[in-house]
Amino acid sequence: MTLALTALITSTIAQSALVPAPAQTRTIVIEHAVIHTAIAAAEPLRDGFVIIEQGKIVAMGTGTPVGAHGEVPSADVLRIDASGMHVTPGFISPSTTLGLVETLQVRATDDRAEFGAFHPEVASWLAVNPDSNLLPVARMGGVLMALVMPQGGTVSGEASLMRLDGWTNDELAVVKDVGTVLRWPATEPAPRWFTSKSADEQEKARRSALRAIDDFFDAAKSYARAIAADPTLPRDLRFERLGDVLDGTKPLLIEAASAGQIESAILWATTRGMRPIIVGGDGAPAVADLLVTHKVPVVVQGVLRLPRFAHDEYDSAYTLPARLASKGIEVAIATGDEPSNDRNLVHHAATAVAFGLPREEAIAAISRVPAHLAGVDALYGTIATGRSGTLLVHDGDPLEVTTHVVHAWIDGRAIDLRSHQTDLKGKYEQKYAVPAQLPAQQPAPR
Amino acid sequence: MNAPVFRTLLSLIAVLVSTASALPQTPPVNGPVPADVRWDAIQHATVFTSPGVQIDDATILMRDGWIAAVGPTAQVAVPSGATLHDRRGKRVMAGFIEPALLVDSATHAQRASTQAGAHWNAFVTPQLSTSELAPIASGLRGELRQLGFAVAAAYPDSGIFRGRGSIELLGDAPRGIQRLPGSAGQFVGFGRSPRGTFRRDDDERMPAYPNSIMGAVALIRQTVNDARWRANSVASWSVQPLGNDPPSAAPALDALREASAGRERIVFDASTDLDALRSGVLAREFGLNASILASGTEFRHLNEVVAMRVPLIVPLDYPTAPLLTTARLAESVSLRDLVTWAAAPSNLSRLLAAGAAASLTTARLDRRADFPARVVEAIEAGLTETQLLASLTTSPAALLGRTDILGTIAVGKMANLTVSDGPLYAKDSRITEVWIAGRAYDAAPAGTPAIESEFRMAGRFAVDRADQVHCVMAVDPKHNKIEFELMNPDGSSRSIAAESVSLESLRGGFQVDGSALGLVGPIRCTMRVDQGAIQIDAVAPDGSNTVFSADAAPIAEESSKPVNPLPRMRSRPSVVLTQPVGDFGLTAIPARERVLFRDATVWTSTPQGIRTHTDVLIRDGVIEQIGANIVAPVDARVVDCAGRHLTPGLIDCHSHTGIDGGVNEWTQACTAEVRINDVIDPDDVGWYRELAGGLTCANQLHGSANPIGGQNSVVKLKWGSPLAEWPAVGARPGIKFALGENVVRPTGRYPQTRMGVEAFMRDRFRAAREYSAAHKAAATGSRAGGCAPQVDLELQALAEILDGTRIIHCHSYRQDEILMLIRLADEFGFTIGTFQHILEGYKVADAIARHGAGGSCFSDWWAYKMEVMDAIPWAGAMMQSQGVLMSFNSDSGELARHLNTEAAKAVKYGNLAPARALEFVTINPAKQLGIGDRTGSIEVGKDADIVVWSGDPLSPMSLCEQTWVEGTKRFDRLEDLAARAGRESLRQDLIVAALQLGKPIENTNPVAEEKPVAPSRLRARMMSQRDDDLLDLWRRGLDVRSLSRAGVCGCDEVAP
Repeated sequence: MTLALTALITSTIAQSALVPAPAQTRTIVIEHAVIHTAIAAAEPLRDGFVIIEQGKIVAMGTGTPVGAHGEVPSADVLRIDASGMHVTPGFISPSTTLGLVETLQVRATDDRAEFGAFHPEVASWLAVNPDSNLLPVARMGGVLMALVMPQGGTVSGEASLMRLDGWTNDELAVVKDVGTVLRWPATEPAPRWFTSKSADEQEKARRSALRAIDDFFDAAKSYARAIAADPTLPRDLRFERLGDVLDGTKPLLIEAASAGQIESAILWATTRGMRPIIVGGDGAPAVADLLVTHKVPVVVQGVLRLPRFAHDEYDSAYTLPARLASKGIEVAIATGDEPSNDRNLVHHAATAVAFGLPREEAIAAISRVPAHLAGVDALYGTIATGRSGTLLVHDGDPLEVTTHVVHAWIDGRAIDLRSHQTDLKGKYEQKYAVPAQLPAQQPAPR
Repeated sequence: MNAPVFRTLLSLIAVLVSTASALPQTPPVNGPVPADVRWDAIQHATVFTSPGVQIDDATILMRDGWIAAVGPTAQVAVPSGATLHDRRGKRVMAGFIEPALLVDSATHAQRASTQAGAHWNAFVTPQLSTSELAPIASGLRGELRQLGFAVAAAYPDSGIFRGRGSIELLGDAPRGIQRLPGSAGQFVGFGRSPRGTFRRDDDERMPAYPNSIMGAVALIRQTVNDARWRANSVASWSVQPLGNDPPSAAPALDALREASAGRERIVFDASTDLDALRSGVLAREFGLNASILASGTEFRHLNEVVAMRVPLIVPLDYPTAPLLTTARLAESVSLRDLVTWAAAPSNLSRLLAAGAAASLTTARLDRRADFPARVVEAIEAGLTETQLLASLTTSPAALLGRTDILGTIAVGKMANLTVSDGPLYAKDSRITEVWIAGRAYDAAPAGTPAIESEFRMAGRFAVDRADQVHCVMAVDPKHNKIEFELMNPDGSSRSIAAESVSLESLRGGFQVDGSALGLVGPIRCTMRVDQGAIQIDAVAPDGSNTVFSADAAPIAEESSKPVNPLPRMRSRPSVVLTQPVGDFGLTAIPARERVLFRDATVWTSTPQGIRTHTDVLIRDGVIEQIGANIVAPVDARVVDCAGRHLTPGLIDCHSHTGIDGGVNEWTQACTAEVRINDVIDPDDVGWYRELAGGLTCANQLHGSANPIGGQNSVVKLKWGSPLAEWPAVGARPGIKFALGENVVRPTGRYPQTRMGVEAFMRDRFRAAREYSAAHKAAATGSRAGGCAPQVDLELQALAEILDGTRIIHCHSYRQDEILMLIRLADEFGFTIGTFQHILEGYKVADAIARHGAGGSCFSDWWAYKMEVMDAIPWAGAMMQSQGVLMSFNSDSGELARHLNTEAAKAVKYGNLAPARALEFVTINPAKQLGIGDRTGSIEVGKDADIVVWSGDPLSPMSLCEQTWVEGTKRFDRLEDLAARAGRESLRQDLIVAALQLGKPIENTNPVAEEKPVAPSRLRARMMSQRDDDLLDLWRRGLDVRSLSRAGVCGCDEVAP
């Protein structure tokens, strides 16, 4: 063990040297667990079991595990006695830059934003570094998938749903083109202590920004018609990538914070027949009716966040998910933070519980809802027969800070829960010769 | 007249008269020389000899610029030589005094700061004096006279020590331009180097010291010390020249000799209410003869400001209504801004009612001409006419120490008079003339015919038209306006304004469209008042004449005037001031209570750990008893804590909350002299938010942009209480040091490497050791000759580190630099207080433990810069296991709201027992700050700093229900919830009021008052980039004030 660890450390220089998990070969049976299925309105199953074969959940239920056809699992399966433990779907960070940046202060590690204003042609999965040291750390916090969003300009590019384990970014990518990210301009002028620009100047800037968005999407639409009529016309990479967003096939992920921005963005997008998802959403409760009418989901950009204005209630960010959910709005919870802190995603969801969001909805907000937004809810985000074996075993209440993720699988593949950080811990434990008294962070059984 | 006053008078007359008559610079006159006779009597006026003392039908006799007699006209004998001025119906007051006229001195200050012997800091130019500046421009003098001012105390406006003011008479050239001999005091501001000013021409990146308010305070403090030392050293050299260097030229410090000793007035330019409070602190600290040019928002700290007993000069610079053009925009306007807007006109009357000595000033107004309208608002908000007059006359005279000659109308006073034709500044009255040293100046605004008010016939007159159309002519001589109102047959009305109106007392002329009088085309009219009737002679374009007569008896105002469908509010709404003013403010300062917390699960943060079903009794701010089944004393409130958890108040060992005017004084590599204590903002809403997360105590640290930063402040979160109660009693004085990436970020200065940081610190410690030795030698008399060594507040702070009386809180990341500082400390013989962040500390935990320093880190933040790529969340527990006293901190206004769940991460990462983990945010930081004997645990005799949680405090699903600080409840979630509807409806009411009061104007930026120097092109690009970055944050719904990111210690902070 010691030797193996040392070998591992010496090879760990800047990038993660963990070995991606191989495909599942052995049936996994998790039993006696509290299972949070993240299915809408479903209560947790007590003394539940889940059976995973070839990457898929083949059976689940309560009591003694039985297979899909009522058979008793054979003796050579990997049995995990999860008594006192909880099982949830693997968490999905619904808005993050994981993999696009290693450290914000080193420009060379930062691929979040392309130069210029309109870049639907860039796709985030291409720049996600599979060997980023941030990915294994996020996994330790149960984040097994991430909707990675580019951040530049007005149309930033395509968001991609990534699984956080694999040899290459091709292997990481679950959906390369989830939808296009659009960053909506400010609709209200900033107060003078924010900027030297007057309200009038800002108003002008806003109008020209909105005009530019209009023009761009108009041009994209005309282009689509023209190309359909005459395929020999010269091609425009930007407009081509925007195609399935224009007709609502793929969602438009619109970053919008204030009520004015959300209102403006939804009216604009729905009038054009597009399908908006709001990312941000501070002001969403004020325009809840609009969100409900157009069935627009919201990705809350962080629950552990300061109120926006001095007069906002101290818990305004904490209560936001509950306020939206109570109106029937589909809510996903992101950290709104640097990607290195994505491991605390569940902490954001738990805080929303303290302030009114039902527990199971909080879990769904970091599993089922993000999967739905990414269009993969048939496979990911919930625990049900036929779904992917992408789930977590927690050694306690998954919403508690003190709980650990002890097992994780993506598509039935057992995920290594070590990281650069556990390596360093191991190294310095040896320096101090402190016996390993630290938590159960052993690699998942293979 | 008593003898001394008479003597003063004579001497002054001598000064004034002789200077006036000498006129050394008048050119020769070709022709007869005009006589300057000043012998006048104002008769039949209503005279206010002093505020509240009124003589009807009075006479004032003036001779040679002085008042010779005043009294009822019947009793004052007027010599035949005096010119008589019949001022029937007029009100005569003592000439008004403007106590703070700021004169542009930027160019002169720049020059003074580069001359030989200048102070090293370009903001210190006390040697400047208004007498060296250009005379007050004639236009400005005229403008002030129009407002009734006869005298102004003028001050240079640039820098921190800006120079000496003088008392100027506001007459006109050549004879009237006069200045009273002597100083009106030093003018001192808290200015930061504004954007675009730089220390050297060739340095684009480094603003001049200071760039923060705390830096400005430090510079003021050091300079006063220097001036005193300078005076002593000059004096001692003259006694003992042998063996000592003769003092070198130091005009700046020489200029401060009197002021620094309290013998000359110092006027502090306080641009915020917090500036006013710190002015008072400095005045008390140095025994200065201070007064304060206030900001207009003193009502926000009314009692504290008044208690300073420093005279105030109060501007009427009310904030304009916030921008509210859309309902969406109104969502961004805080209650504090709205209440400040609403209450601003009441500032002066509130100050006076509380007993402050206050004068009025026109300073800080964007347009001086707005002064009368602002006064009217102040009157509507409660200012009495007597108070108004006092604040324009007697109060400023007293402030300037010139009650001997200014401020009242009495024999022996200077003949300065202000004459008004009605109640002062009322809507329909005007200042008609101002007398200055016995010379009359017409106060009418330029361009207004002087005789306009003489037209006898004002009001509305029925015009006798041939066509029987009902027509009313409205004559408004004051505004030189004539309007015709026609009633149409259908009952509607329209009005036609006359143009080119010119009115004399009994005749006038105008042009008007013929339809006004049933004629066609533009017609010219002449108007005549004869035998009580008005006759209008209208000349049509064809030259034909028509004569109309108007009924001279003014007809009654019509009652059927159309009513404005949107009733507009006349004055700002009255508001109840909470403490702090605005959001989450309290109507009364909360009191200490005797409380029994019954049947709680108590996390003691002592070796006793967690005690279930336990009662805690508190009294007089301390914990009185802990145990089971304590009988509730009759005077105790009982808080039922069944099912609830009690913890000590949480303590944040690294906070930047509530620091006013900049977290970093980063313009120099060592700024040990700056003190966070000088810039605590008790009104920062962040405090309330942190209380709502169970925080009761915070270590406010300077930023990390330089290796040796400023002195810290440890506060208890006493939301709603005066600033003076905030500092935590017993806390060890500390100071911020910083290592690593941040301190080498400012380019173009030493140090740029970790090597340089070590050398720099070593050098400073040596200097401090030498400093300390010199002072000790002087104190014990073992030093030979000369005067006492100079006080250097920077080295003094460093010497305190060496003495062990001040501890270092060192921002640190990498293990190599941690060991570097430990080596230095061991070498210089002191112990480091805490390593802050200390994210690689787990690599050298044994060395830190051996040295004896504490560690205060983030629970799990990492990767935000290169030097934290190796941070691990187990660090806290690992270091603790090696014997390092550990705490978790926030360095963030957000994280500080849930330090309890941060502590939980020591359970998650490190398997600490929950009770031990909580100690990371309770007793451990208390010990690190030197208050472990007072707070941080629940033990009998300790401060009653207690948090009530709805459940396990380590769970993110538990709520902080109550936060008690020293026995006073500072947060209660139920009360907060109950108050929400009321707060929002008050905010909405004020928004409606602001909308009704007329066209809202954008809020001005208070910092923008400083005149920006044109930036270089590179700088302009940087500023524009920053602007864009900030606007992007706004777009994304982030508050610029919460920008400080993990571990950057406010390095990226943005000055508000």
